[in-house]
Amino acid sequence: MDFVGQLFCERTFQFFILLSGIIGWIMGYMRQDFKITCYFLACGSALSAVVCLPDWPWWNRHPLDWLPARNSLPPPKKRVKEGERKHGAADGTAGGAKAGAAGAAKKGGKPKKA
Amino acid sequence: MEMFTDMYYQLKEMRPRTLAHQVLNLCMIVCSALMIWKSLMVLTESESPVVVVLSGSMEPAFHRGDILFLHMGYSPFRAGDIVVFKVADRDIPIVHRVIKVHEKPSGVVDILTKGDNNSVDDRGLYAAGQSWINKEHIIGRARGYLPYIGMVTIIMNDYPLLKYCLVGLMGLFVLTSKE
Amino acid sequence: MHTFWQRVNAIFFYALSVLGFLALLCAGTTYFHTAHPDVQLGLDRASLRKIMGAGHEQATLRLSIDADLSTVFNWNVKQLFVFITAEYVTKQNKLNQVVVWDHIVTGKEYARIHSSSIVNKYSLTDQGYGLRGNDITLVLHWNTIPITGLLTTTGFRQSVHTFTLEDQYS
Repeated sequence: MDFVGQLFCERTFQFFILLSGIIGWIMGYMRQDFKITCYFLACGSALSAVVCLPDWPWWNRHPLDWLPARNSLPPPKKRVKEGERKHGAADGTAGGAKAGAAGAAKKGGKPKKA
Repeated sequence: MEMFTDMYYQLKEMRPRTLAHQVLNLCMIVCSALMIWKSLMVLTESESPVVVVLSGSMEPAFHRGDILFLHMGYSPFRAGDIVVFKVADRDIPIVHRVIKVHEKPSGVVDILTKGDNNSVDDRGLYAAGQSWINKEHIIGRARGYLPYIGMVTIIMNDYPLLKYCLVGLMGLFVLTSKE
Repeated sequence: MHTFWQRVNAIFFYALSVLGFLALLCAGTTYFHTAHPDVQLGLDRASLRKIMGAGHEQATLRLSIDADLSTVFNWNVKQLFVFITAEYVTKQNKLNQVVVWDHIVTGKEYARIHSSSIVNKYSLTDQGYGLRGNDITLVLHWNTIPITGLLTTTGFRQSVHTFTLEDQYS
């Protein structure tokens, strides 16, 4: 999922779950039965999970513009690459998240130090 | 799995001061959780302000995994109150309903309890020779109720290995996160 | 939002928070709910005997109950625990309260209780011999168990039944 897709996805499921919850609550209040509210919320959550969880094509409509790959430089050793990626990424982003996208963008953007 | 390798490299490359900072963060979280728990204890005047229902003796009202909020209160104990009490040599608090109250002029109250789902009263659960419980055995009255949320505690009690793994994981996460 | 599992985590806990908020709102709306129950208690027959060796007396009662608790139900009520207590005063104790009968009402449809002659489920025993010739008051109470929220017990004291036990054993 690209970044714009992630934003839309988050907004979509939040809005949808909240809406199904509110409708469920109103229906439950009219019938005086909380089970109705729970069912509406569960259906809304299931539906938004189906729409938002997998990587559907409509979430990938704004792909990032990568710079063309440079084939002239030799591929660096794997351990050094890991270390460089960690030093580059650790300052800006949290360690737990996949830093793949950010690291790859940085590597493509600046000239390689041997 | 790469989550763990990320964490490992992060921990390995931390300078001693950063590592100390992270450990302090972890201690802060543990201490604030403890503070919140203890202040709840003071507020509700009860030894244990939130309990998870562990047995099915109060079904169909309370099932295993439901949460009860306790508050002692100053009003006298009356039949129908749902009380949480501890018997002399047992550690586990019991959540049952008061079915008999005999209040003496001196203020001493003899109470007999019974679980809704049990066919006999709790005399068998009390200590040997004890026929009634009194105010000092009671740790609180159930005032509030939340269903199902305590299932996590039940699962962790039934599988203690899971509890240790989860706590260890959470500690690791705090140590390696920069927030 | 980068990985699948982070999205699962986000959706699950968001839905749970919305559920919690709606449950709180539901409990809030029932704060203004007023109940109009209709209760009539009566006594059909009472007999008293002395339990030798145990040092106390025991009374057996046949109660008649006519109660309509359907207005107590609202969408936050999971069930009602209905019970009848026998209350009396003795020389030893300034208050005695014994539950003699209880019943669980799980829904509005079952909220009408009508029985003309029910034996008490739980024995009415005193700690000593204080039942002979004593006045006993029967009161109906109900304990509302909510779906979420506060547990409340109400005793219906507008309509109680007082009777006097005989001064001899039967």
